[in-house]
Amino acid sequence: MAFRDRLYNWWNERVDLDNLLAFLKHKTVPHHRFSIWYYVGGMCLYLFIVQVITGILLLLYYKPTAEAAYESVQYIMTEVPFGWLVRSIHSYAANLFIGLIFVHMFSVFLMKAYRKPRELTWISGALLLFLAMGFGFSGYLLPWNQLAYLATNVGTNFAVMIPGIGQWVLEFLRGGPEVTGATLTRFFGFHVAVLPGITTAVLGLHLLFVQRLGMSVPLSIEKEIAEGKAPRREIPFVPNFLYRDILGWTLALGLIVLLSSMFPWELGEKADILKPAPPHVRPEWFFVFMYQTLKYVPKAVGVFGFGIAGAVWVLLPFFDRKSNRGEPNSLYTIIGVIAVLYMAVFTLIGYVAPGE
Amino acid sequence: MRNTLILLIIAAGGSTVALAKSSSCIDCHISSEWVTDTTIVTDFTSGDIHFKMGISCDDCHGGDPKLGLEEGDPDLAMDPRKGYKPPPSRLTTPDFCGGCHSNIEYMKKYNPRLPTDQLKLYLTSVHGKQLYDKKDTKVAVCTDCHGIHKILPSSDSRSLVYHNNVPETCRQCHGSPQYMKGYKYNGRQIPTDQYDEFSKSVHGILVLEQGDNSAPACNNCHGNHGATPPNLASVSAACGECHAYNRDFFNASPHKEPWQDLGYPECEQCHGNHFIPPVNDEMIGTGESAFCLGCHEEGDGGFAAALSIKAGIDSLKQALESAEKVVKEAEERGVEGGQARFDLGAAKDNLTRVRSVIHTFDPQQVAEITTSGMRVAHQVEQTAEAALGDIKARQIGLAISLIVVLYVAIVLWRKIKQVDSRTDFVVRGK
Repeated sequence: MAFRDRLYNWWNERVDLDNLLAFLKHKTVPHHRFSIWYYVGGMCLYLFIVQVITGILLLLYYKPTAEAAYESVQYIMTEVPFGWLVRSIHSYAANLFIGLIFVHMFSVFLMKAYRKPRELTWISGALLLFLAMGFGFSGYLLPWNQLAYLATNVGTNFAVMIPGIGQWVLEFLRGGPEVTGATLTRFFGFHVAVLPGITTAVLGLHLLFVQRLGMSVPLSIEKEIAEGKAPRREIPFVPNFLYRDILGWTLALGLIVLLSSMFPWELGEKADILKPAPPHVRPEWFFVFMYQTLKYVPKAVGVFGFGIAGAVWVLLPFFDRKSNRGEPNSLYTIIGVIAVLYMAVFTLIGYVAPGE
Repeated sequence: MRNTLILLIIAAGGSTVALAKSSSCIDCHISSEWVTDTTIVTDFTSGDIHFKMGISCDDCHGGDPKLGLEEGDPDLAMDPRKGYKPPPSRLTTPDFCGGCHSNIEYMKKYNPRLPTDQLKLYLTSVHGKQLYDKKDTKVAVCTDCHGIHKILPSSDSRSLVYHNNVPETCRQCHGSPQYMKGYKYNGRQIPTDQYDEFSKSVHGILVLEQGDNSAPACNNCHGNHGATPPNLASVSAACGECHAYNRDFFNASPHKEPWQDLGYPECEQCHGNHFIPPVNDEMIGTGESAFCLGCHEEGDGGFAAALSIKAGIDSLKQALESAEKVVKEAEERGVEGGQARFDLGAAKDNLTRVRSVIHTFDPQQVAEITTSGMRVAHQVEQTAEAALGDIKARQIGLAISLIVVLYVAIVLWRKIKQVDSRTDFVVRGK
């Protein structure tokens, strides 16, 4: 018996590889004109893995204190072999990751893929978006540069608006009343321990739900199939779907490496708490639509409103009863389009004409 | 009227209410029935430091304001037999003010930090000597610079003697050719263009345009109460108050003694006095605008020293410029240049230092600093060049990795086509 066969048998006797392979061989994914959106979720998973790997590499040199953080990142960028590449990939992939989570979420929303029986898949996905934003918010401060310091100041300030416990939340996040080295150390803890732990658990659940329930077929496609206008089409997961996934991941890696090499992620100036803030300090791009909105409404109302909107968004499958019954619901499509437009327009305003 | 006045004074400061109630001076001097000029009171009560400190009219002018209040007769209040002193003449003003301001015990009660030597200093000043010795009442007395009844502390930006207002205050007399006519210094008419010259100088621009009160105004070099034209020996002392290193370097330099013998006024010789233009490196060396050529000529030691010093500075500047160019290029091309910038800053410090050390006129000392600066600049340049080389390596690496990515993508694409051609996507029987 060849070595390969002996190795296979050794594993097969212990973890029943035959069963796993049979499962993979028969696993299929719906195939139709909207199935391109199925690949976005896989891309997010891939970018998360890229983040984990590059993050671990950065951890080898990063020092989470106000005195040494900036210098350690500077050292990574200038002295550590390929340190500039690893940090730039980590930064670009982080932004692409969050951007694609939004794309994934809105594609799921507009295809009403959250409808029964996939409510839990949606909820775990929405939680993953919040966790990703938490990663972005905490990671942004870690290089301890001036922009990140100011953005964290602005961002954490909104915690005060939470009724009743606002001040406590603010001080919990900052490790005191001000953004200091204590905040940096705390954010480091969130970024490399707390959030990865929770994310891994929620991501595991999300993947389990995806696996157990399969991909949702949009109602319009289901209707076409039911009316006999089009046949039901499926694509084998292995190898057809997987090859497409890997093609996408390869191209994404190429794009990230291209960006990282041509425009390495900037480090900026070291944070100086005594330096006056320049005008138009803004948080990271994925918070800008909220930040800009809070300029037009009373802050307490805005923070409360976003809290409610976030909760409603997570529990959305329970509100859209028509979709759950398998009926088209154009109201929710309109809501989704308005939400996308609102976020896009307010983000744009935040960059073009931020106001005071 | 009385109530209005009391209200006015309450508004000006609570601590002075008692004063207003017990004083008839204000009652009469605010009323056009008694006086034609009521500004004395409005000036005095609108911020005068004496008024704020609770010092009343009779504390300076004497008399008995209570009597005036009780009897309703101003003459009783201003009775010389009650110690009333009429407003002092210009000739007696310094003694009038000095009565209190030279009294250490008295002044301690109000401001223990305030000097009490103003009158003493004034007597040594040109103004004081003219006034007391020649009875010349045209010269500045206390009230010309401080005001009369609206005397503000010098820390108040509205004060005539606030640092940044001093040039304008001095200009009132020293900028007027008519007023200054006949006044001579060293046998020559005192010029009246000092303010115009000063306003164009580095110091004047800072004081008058940028509101920088760390730059010198007239009194920083000439003194204030003891105002006097600085003589030759004290010019460098005045400049050296701020430019201490340059003063010390110059005092230890080979120029010190010969310049003294020649009667050259040290700093002023090269930099001017009221008009001090921004310095530039062409002031030293053997070029057309170099001051060294005023005394030195080709063949003498000074000429060689000037040549060497200038060459050192130029070489350092060139090295810095060259390093800056490469660092900038590296930064623009995305290389993190924080450390290079920091090191370049240290090399630039050498340029600043050498511009001070040139006052030693010692080529050896200058060379030590320029050489060390150039060494750092060259190191920075080499590091930045290595970083630029690294960029080239990155680009080659990028090109190779993109070729690999593209190759894998093509292989996958072909594979997808291949497996798709063998797959029947249509689900039957479901």
